[in-house]
Amino acid sequence: MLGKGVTLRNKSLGPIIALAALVAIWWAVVAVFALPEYLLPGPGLVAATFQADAASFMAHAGQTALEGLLGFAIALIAGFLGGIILFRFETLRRTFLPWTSALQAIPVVAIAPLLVVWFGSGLSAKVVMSAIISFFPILNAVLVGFAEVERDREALFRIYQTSYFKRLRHLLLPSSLPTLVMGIKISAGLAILGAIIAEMTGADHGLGFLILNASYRLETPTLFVAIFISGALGWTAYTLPDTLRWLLPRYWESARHQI
Amino acid sequence: MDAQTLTATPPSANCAKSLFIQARGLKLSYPGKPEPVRVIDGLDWEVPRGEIATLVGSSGCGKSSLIRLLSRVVNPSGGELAIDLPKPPTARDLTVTFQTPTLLPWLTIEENAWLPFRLSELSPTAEDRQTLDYLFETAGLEAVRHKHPHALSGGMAMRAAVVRSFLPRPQLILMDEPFAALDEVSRERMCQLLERMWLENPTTIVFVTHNLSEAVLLSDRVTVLAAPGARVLTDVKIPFPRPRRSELLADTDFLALVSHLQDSIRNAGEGSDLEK
Repeated sequence: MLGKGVTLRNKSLGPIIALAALVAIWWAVVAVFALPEYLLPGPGLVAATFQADAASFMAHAGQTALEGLLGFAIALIAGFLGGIILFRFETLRRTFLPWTSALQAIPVVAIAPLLVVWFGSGLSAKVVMSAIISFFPILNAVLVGFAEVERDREALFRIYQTSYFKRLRHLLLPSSLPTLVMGIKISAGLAILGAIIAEMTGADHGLGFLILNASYRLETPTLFVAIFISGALGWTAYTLPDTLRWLLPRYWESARHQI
Repeated sequence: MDAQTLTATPPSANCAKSLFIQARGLKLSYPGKPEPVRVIDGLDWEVPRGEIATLVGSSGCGKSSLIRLLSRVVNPSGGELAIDLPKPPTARDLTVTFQTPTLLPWLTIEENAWLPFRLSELSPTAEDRQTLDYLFETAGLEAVRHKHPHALSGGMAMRAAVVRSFLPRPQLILMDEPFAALDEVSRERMCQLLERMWLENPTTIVFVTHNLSEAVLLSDRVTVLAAPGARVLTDVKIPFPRPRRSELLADTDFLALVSHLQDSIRNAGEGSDLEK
């Protein structure tokens, strides 16, 4: 008991010390070299900038989060449906899978201006962008997760010529949950990235807009706040799906091992 | 059928035995380069109803492929394979035990036992429930029936898999090296459990193993296959009366029969990984 408590405290203590050290070094560099604030503002100034305009910052963050969330929701549904259909029909899979990986290879930044042309500078362009970038990790997770199902387990179902729907429900989806959670994590993180990139190509609010605008005006403290908030948002999106895993009983994790 | 077959029959089985599985020139090949891999190349083999028929052979001789053919997960590339079962089968017709227990981790042991029913859309009768109680009792799994597979040892999980195969009292049970991963002691116990369940519920069992003693101890008939192409090396009827106790393992006739099988395999230059 005691040992466990100590390790737990050590575990959370380490990163906190590292963060404190980083902030201290940052502060020292700014103080010692007397750097101008447009080059590198000190931690105090960044905090003050945030505090002075917290409501506005949070509104921008909320906008980005909304776009990311909507895009992610579309990606989640499309990715699952796409994966389920492609896994079932081998010809379809063979026809489309090479092209989906080719599509994935296109840098999303290159698509962003096109989306503005098509969807304007409103919410929809950002949502579409966010959906496009976060779609592939879900699709891949479904296809990989289903393909990883152990051969004998698959045979157990095939003996009775069990329908695909039944296999999905009782075998494929539960077996591949750990892989699916991983795909969802990556996808959720990318959804935020997609929204920010889309905001940079044309928007009047959101974190991407804020970052671009602040850089034009050389408002480096604002830039720093926006970067930190983006990081926090991306990190939240990436770690939140882990709660899905905590909701699952522990034995689920052993789904991939042979039992 | 000669007299020897009859002595090996359980008392409750039908005396007039009909053929249940019949393979004539059975072929199975997988695409390969430069030419297709002929896993099974013209196998003639048959199993009468109610027998425990065992296939022995070194790895790669095609015994697992034969199990896949019998469970009709794959289709033969040539020849004939007649199995007297409806298509698709239900749990009352066919169950399979694999090399691993193949229990679903998110279901309890009891739910896992009912899985073949669920998959073939059968609802268990009151008699089935009694059978399950009895089988859990016999296999020593009563205490863990509401637990999940991760809480079980390898041997217990394998017993649960065997219980699952016997529960629907199917016409045919296919067992693909079910005890290969177990130690000697639990393997012997599993063999006895298997025979006991079979004597109480005579069905046809096709058993695959690479352990010769296990094969002789369990079976009514042992067919030794050799790679390539699953050629039949020998096919012997096992005369020992049932139930067969573990003392049989030290019996001279038993040992002679095992040696005989071993020799036939060795003479064919086979069996590098066979266990005696």
